[in-house]
Amino acid sequence: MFPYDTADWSVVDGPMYMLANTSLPGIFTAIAAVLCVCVWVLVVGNRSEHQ
Amino acid sequence: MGISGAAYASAIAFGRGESAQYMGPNIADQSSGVFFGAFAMFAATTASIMSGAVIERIQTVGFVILAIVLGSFAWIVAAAWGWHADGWLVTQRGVHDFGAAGLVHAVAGFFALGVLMHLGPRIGKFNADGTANHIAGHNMPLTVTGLMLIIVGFWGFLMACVIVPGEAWSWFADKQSTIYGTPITLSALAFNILMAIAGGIIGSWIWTKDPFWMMSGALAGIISVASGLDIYFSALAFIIATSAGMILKPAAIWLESRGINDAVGTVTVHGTIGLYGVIMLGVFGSGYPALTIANAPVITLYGQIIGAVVFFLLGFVPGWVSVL
Repeated sequence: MFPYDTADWSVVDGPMYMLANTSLPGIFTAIAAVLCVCVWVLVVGNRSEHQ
Repeated sequence: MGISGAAYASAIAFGRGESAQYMGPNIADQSSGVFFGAFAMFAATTASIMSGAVIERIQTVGFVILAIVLGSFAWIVAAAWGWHADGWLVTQRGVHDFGAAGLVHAVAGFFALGVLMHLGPRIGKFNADGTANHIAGHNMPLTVTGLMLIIVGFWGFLMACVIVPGEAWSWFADKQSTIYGTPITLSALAFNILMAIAGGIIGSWIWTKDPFWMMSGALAGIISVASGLDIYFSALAFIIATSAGMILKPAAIWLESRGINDAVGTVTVHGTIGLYGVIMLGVFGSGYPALTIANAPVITLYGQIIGAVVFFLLGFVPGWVSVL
């Protein structure tokens, strides 16, 4: 998942996080947001409020 | 640099000698003292990790002997093999463990497991039929405050793993690097640690709704992403940390069901989650060069698993043998 064509740090001149310059970091953020808001707050959290 | 512990301590005490310049204000060397202090702290940290597991049933002298074995041998070997640009785990297997999830936390956690297997449980922990009783701490606010202090300490712990630029011994003149010589940014550290804390708390909240486990979950969250704090994207760090928080208590309960009385969840938080973090980096970070040299070995899942096994053995075996 190295975000550059060559697995060599000498070619890195910008973002170096996993899958930089692809859509996957945004998908990770979307997954995290959905988990937090929809699953844990609205479902699990709401359920625990009623216990 | 060749600073020995004795030379360094003498230089600090007497203010003269080669090593004295590293401790006092010295515009030509800003951070050798930080690096030395950080590694001394790592050694102490391994013993403090073990201390939680064995509380209430170990003599001070015995604990000190174990602390010396762990703090001056077990994790040192792990660091020499996996936390150095010349270590064989790095040069041959591409192992990457920037924040010492495996070589400090897992080594200390499984060292504690080896000790616990001989030490046995606290009186009253298990019933005659093998079921376990919960022995609550005496003061939950103080317990949680202590866990929060550890979380604060993690920022210093991890930031001290960064090699600053421009020193005589730095990898680069103009940018920070990891111990392996690979580049790192303080922004990445700051946000990934923050996301790991949040994810760990939320993940452990799912099953426990218990402040002790939620704060332990924050530690587990940080440890689960410590190996790749330099290269994770923050949202991915959050997701991994959340998963670590979710498996935390089930893993602790499983260990308890095997008759191991780990008083504060040390083996799980540091050992199990430490190895989980090392392996997760293999899942997500495969393909990253592990060193800055040309044709450097790359991070692979296989290499990270090899590293995890080595770190487990370097912790568990000395711990188990030391108590014989």
